[in-house]
Formats: sequence, structure tokens, C-alpha cells
Amino acid sequence: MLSLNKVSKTFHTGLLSRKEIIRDVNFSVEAQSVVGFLGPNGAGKSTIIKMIMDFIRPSSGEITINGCSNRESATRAHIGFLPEHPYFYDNLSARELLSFLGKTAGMPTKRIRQRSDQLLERLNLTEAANKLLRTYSKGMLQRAGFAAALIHDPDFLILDEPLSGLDPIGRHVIINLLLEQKAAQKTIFFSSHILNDIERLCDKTAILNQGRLLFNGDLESCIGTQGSLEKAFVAIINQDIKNHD
Amino acid sequence: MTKIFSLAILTFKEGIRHRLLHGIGILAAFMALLTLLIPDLFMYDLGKVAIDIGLSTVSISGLLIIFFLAINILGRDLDKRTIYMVLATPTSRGQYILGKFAGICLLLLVSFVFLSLLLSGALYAITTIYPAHISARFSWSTLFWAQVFLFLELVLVAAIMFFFSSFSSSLYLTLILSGIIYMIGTSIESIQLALSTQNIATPSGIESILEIIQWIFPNLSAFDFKTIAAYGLPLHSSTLALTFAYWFFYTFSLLLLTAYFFNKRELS
Repeated sequence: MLSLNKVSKTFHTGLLSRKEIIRDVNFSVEAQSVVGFLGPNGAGKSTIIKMIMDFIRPSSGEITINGCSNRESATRAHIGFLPEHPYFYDNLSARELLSFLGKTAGMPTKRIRQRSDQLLERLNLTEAANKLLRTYSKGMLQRAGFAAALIHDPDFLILDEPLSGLDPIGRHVIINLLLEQKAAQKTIFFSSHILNDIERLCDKTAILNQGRLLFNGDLESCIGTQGSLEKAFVAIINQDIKNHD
Repeated sequence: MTKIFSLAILTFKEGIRHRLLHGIGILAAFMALLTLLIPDLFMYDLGKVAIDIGLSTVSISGLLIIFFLAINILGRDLDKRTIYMVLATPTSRGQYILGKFAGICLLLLVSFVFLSLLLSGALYAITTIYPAHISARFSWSTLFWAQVFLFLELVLVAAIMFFFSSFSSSLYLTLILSGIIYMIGTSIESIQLALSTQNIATPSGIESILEIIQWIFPNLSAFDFKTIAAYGLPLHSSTLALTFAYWFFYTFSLLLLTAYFFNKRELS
């Protein structure tokens, strides 16, 4: 479904200096799998997600979605995306936001209305549906972002830190929604620092450190003999640091 | 087309509810009131004074909308990354630019119609109260065309602002560059006219430089029919057609360049 082939990304850090943030990353996300994307802060997770969404372009390598280059806007028709810090138009209501996104996805007006009502109710936003987004709390914005990602019932969800900034009730709602999406055989690719969430939701994991992909495979084989994902993750990162010292 | 239209409506809604627009609206209403009061200070050419003040009010309000509100709306999209929400849908960057531009133009149009109605109301009151002091050549039709081309000028200024924001990383840089182009565009014709009609000593080559500048930068004074409307001078259809063709070519070219540069831009 999603494939990254020898993807690298270099940023200018000064007039003449450059820094390679992502180095020759190869990996793929198969249809109907749930992949947890792990890595310490600054590992390059958000950079890779931005490249997948074509917000920034790889310095080398290529990214394809369902066999087509991700540069083609049509490839995003079946993707639901939640950025790390969702920001929306302050002077719009959640209902107007969902209506706009539904229209751009080509949904009929009646279906947009039904789906919006359904999602707003599931995400405890019904009462705030017609209030301007600038009056929303951080958790409410995160939930509104989730509704925005799901409005067109996409086959593929790309979520950057979907559970950050949520209170326990919000977390519960979102985790249940993610489990529903998994049961509906949707493909989910999400980054998170919360290893328990990865263990609970994912069947595969990819681990990134300093722009290098260290592991990509089944969650069980990642945990291996370590007993928990946390121990396995720390061991993989420490080994990588030792190798590059 | 649906995507461009939806984005235009979204941008319009965002703009019409913006507090800055309310401030600009209050300022414009105050200036429209001045259009009614200031002519009281003059004993002749009341129509000319009222048209001058009225059209200037409409022009200044439109420029405020572009330089503060539109730049703010577009800049926030890039600074706050609200653009991710739009580009995560199957909307191309070219469609994004066209949708945003159409939304800003719609916002300008609605504000412009509102201000023009205020101006026309004030002028109607003046022509009714002081009919003896209004020029016999005063024409509503010329005033209408002057306003139409004032609107086209504002749309072109908005296109200039879009062009700079397609590659500029800072809101202020976009504001400064657009402001400079606006000043050059409105004054280059007067400078050339002054140099050709008055005997001003200029360094050699300055006229060639001005000639080149006039070809590159938009000649915004071409859209200024304030004097013609104020004095009720004849306005030929060929002038209007040529000016419209110039506006269309320049705006279209700017939007093409904007889409090209924006497509290359990294939205990190």
C-alpha cells in the first residue's frame, strides 16, 4: 500500500552547511496492517510522515501509495491524516470543517451530514459542533482532527502522535475508534511515544533513530526475548548508539 | 472545480468572520460619513471632492483587506500549518492557490460592493442636496466603470501578494515586497510623464531603466479612473477593453508563476 524506496532527506542548516535527517530509508506498509512508528525525539518520524503526505520532498528516493507516486494529489483520496499538532481555521465550526473536507473528498451533502453527526457524537463533540474552533481546548482540537481524518471513511490512516494532548476520556474514545478501524481492516500507520499504545493496537512496528530505520517487522519478533516492547526498543536504540559511537 | 469552489467559500467564511475585517468595516463607514461631511467645507466642485474621497476610501479599505487580512489568512495557513489539513485531501497545490485566491477575491468583492453602495448613497445625497454645485458632466456610468477598474486593480494587488507568499518564508517580507511593488506600480507612470513633459536633468540611461521597470512591474495607475470620474470626462470603451486585457494577462501570469513556485515549496 505504502512504499518508501531509498528515501533520504537533507536540510540546509546554514548558508553552506547541510544535515542529513533521513538516510536511505526503505520500508513498506501492507494493506490492512496496523504499523506503529517508533523513535526517540528528533529521530525523523514527523519528517517521514510529512514526506509521505508530500508536504516536503525527499532529497533522493521515491515514495509510492498504491503503486502511484505520492506527488499525485489523487493518491490522497483514500488517506485520512492527522498531524502532530492539528491546527484548523479558527473562525470555522467543527461542522463547517467536516463539511469542507467531505466536499473535497467528493462526498454527497447528505452523506457528509450523516457522517459528521456520527463522528461528532462518537468524539463527544456534538454540543460544540457549531462553536468556532478557536474556542476549543487542545483535547477537543485533537478529537476534531480525528473526525476530520475519518470523515470520508478512508482506507488508510496516517496519524502523527494521535494520542498526545488527550485526557483519559479522550484517549479512551480515540483508542476505541482506532480498534474499530482495525477491526474494519483499515490500514493504519501511526507514530507514538507511548509504547503501551503501540503494543495494544499494532501488529507491526518500525523503529527509527537518527534518520536510520533500525527495525521493520512484526511486533512479536521485535519484542522477541526481551519480554516487552519498552525493553526491546531501548535495547535496539542503545545498540545503534553503540554502533555509531 | 468543486475543490476550488469549496476552498474559496472556506476562505471567504474565514475572512468575513475575522476581527480585522470588522475593524476595516468601521473605518470605511467612518470615511463614508466624511464623504458626506467634508464637501460642506467646499463651495465648488462638490461632486469631484466627494468622488475623490469616496473612491479613495474604497481603495484604501481594499488595500487594508489585502495587506492585513489576506496576508494574515494566507500567512497563518503556512505558519500554523492549517495548510496540512487542505493538502491532506486530494487537492493539488495549484488548486489550493486558485481556491485561496478566489476566496480572497470573493471577500474583496463583497466588501467592495458594500463600500461602493455606501459611496453611491453618499454621492446621491450630495447630488440631491447641492444640485447647483455638481458638474453637469457628472456621470454615474463613468463612476461605475471607475469602481470596476478599482476592483480589478485590487485583485491584481492580491495576485502580487499571492506571488510573493508563494516563496517568501515571512509574512512581513511578503507585506514589504507587495507594498513596494504597489508603490512602484502606482507611481511609475507619473515619474515617466514628469520626465518626458518637464525638462528635468537625469543621469544617462535612467529613461531606459524606467522603460524596463514599466515592462516588468504592473502599471497600476492604468486602472485609476478617479480623475476621469471626478471631472466627468469621457471614458472610451477601447481604453476599458485594453486595460481589461492588460489586467487579465498580468493577473493570469502572476497566478501561473505563483502556482509554479508554490508547487516547488517545502512546507516543513
